[in-house]
Amino acid sequence: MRRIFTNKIFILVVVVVLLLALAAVSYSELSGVNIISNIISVPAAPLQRAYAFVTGKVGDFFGYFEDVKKLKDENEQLSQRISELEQQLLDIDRLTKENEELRAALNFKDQYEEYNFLGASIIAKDPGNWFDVFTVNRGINDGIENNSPVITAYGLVGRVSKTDLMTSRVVSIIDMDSTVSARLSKSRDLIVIRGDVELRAKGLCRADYIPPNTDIMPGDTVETSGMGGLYPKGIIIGKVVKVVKNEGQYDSYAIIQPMVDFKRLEDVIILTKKES
Amino acid sequence: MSNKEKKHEGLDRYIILAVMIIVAAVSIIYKLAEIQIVNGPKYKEESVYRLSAQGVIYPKRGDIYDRNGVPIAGSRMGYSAQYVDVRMPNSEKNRMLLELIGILERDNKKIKSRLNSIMDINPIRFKTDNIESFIKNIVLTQEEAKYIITADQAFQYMRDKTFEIDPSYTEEEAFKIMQLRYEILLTQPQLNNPLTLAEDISVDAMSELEERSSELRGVSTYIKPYRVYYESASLIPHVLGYVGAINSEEMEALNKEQEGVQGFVPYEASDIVGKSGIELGAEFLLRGVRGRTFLEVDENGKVTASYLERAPQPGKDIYLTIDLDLQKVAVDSLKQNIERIRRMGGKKNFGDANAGAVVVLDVNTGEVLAMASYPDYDPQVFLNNNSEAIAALFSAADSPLINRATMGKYAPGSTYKPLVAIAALESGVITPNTKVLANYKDVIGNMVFTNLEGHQGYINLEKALATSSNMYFYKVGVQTGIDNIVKWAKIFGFGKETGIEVSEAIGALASKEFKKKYFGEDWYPANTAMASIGQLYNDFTPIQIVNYISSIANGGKKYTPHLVKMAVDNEGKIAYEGSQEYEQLPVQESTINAVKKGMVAVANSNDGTAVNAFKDFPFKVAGKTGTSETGREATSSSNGLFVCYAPHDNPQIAIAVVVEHGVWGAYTAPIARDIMAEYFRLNEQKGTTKAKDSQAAIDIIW
Repeated sequence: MRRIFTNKIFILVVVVVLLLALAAVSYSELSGVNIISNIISVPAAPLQRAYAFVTGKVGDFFGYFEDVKKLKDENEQLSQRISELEQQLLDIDRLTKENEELRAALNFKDQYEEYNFLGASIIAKDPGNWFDVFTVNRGINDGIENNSPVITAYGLVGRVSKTDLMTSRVVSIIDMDSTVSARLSKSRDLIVIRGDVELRAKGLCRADYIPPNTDIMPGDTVETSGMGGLYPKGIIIGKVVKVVKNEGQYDSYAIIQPMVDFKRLEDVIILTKKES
Repeated sequence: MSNKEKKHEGLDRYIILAVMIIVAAVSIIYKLAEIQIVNGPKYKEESVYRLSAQGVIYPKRGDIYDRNGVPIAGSRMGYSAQYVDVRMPNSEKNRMLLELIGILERDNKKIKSRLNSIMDINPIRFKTDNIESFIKNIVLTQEEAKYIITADQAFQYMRDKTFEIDPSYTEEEAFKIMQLRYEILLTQPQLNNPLTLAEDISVDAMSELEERSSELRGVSTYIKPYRVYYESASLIPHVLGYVGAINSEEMEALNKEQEGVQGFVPYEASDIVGKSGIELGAEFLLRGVRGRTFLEVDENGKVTASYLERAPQPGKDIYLTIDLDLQKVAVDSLKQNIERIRRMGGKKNFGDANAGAVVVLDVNTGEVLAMASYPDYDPQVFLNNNSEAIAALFSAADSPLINRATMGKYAPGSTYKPLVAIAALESGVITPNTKVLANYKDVIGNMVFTNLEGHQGYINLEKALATSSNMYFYKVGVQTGIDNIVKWAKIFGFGKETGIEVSEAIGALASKEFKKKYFGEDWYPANTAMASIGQLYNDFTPIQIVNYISSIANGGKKYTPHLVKMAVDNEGKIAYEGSQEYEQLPVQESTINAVKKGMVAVANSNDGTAVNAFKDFPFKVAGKTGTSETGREATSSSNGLFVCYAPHDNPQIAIAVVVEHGVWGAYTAPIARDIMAEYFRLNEQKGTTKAKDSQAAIDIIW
């Protein structure tokens, strides 16, 4: 009994000392070591993933026992669709080849040529309604680096701001820590897309440095310029919602609705540089 | 084990636990109290200081257009980069700054550092002997200052101690880091006094700095409108002037001048102001006032929120009275004719015509329609900050920066004769029909004068003006008396500023007072004779001369010649209009008509001095030639002047032309002719037979 008691004290002391040590080490902002966060995030990652998976799928569970007959009909339709798609696939093959030849002829450089595409799932996010800063299930092990661009099929999400072994933190374009060099797709004017405290709460961001007399209207598309060095050019960022001209100011700014829905974000694509 | 023992053991555990919790709680509370109560005010101050800053919104200066809305000067958007010092380990800071320097160097921007005037590398050496304060700045403890003597020691000390630059950097890299860090050390750039790293950087550099702003901590960019001069500006560099950064004397003077004016916001250091021309003359219209913002900033200097404290006020756009089409004709014709006169040779022509000016005035409004000065320059030089080219302009022997139309002072020569005629008519000495003996030689006030026009017999005013008879005006001038002439000269605006918006000379008026003041001598009748033909001390600016001719043309109305037609504010409202008010001069209509008759004869009668210049015009032009002696006629040509207005019966414009060393007044008449032809669209009516005659020889008489 006494041994157990001493043991408990011992364990307690060890735990407390360990926690304090961890706190002390991770407090030092100059440590520059991610070991601590790795120690925590590596074992936590599957848990976070499981949590995200469960919460995501609970809703689906009740829809699981839908009419089987319906599925049968659907199956038939899908079979037909498959044959259609197979035909289209042939076309695509032909077109791809053609495209490649034409690009080569034009000496056209693919904006994504230098990148690998890596799918990633969101496993945690900062509090709040929006996916402005979140964690994904890919890390250094997957070749993720700081500043790796993050996109979805719709457009630009943001960039990796911190990498651990198996997870990475992503700062989205609506966060204040993000600045993207961008272009108005129509007028080709160069602007800067920034996160804004107030707009972030609405899932929007702002476009600064719009020169006077620029041809810009609500609905216009904004894309990455590729000039800042972080993002490849031509990734769609969003659409202009409103152009604001402050009293007396020479340049104007615009409110941008990102293409990506930062309220519902599950999977993203991380671009990693190909080894050359 | 008994229950008692167990209980006791349990109690023991609880006590230990309680003690641990209390110890933990007490230490936390102690720390909290220290933070909140003991050091609370200090931390609060620090956090407020760190998190708020004053921001600037740079204003746009007003655009400048010609009277038809053709743009002359405007603005473009430029980006600048600044730095706020951030606390971070030296190794990281050095790496970041070197990267920053790299980005700016790729943009051909060199960071200004005060280290550059002290030290150089390859080899490491001091550029100055005065290194005491420099050493003081870099040492960590003043003790160490005495051990640093050589440049190598100073370099090594900075590298190892002051800035802790990693040995892996090359000497060049280390020096670049030192340059920037030394400047940062001296400036201590905080949120409220950021260090400007580079002005007017390219959009590429801006994009890179912005996109990487989370790595480049403390670095930010801002927008600033920069002045642009369009191609048309090179047609009117003198009228336009140029802008530059305000200096302390200008700031003091401008703030004093506008002190107490409602809504005036004082100038601040590094504001942009007009330095000359209309940029200076219309400074208070063109000037934009900086806006102020209150910024919330995180510890990296990144703005997280901004509140507008004072909106920037853009400058007002101004529309000049200048017609650029007419201006172009004036500029081209002035240049071509100066070159032509230089080449044409002949008696008294030393081929030295090299400068001149021409002013065109709307006689019914006082608007300056064209104003050219030769030689000229491209005002672009002043925007490119090309200090060598600017210095060359300032020191050039032919003074291209001088606006000769308002700053050039010339003896008017015979163009003064209409004024003398007005004085004589108004004081009753002559009537238009009075005939005066213009003989070849006569004694006036104990001095022998000769008439260059030879023996003309008895002639009236019309003939005297047409032939520019010196003898007539010697005699009539002396009879009228210098005081009367000066009185009327002053009425017509000589001897004082015309009031035009750009810098102008006052000139000089030959009078008894002038001679007494500057020569300490009494006045003689012979002086009056010389003054009557526009010589002696008479020294007028072309703008004064054209305004006087305009007053004759419009029947005695004296306008203030002006260059700004109107100013339009940001909302498109007219904020200012050039004054078209005039002063009715106390001169009789009959007097004006008699003088006009003589001036019409100059360009139209058989013996007029400028009869060939306008002979194919569909209306009559009234004019007067003037050849003014410079007193150096043995080695250089006289100045040539020509004044005119048209049409003679319904005057619309008046022109004054001066060509330095233009030999004869009549030589310069073709310049006025070209301008008239453009203004009255005579070239269009007659197709392409553009004034070949203007190059033709013209009868030359004084």
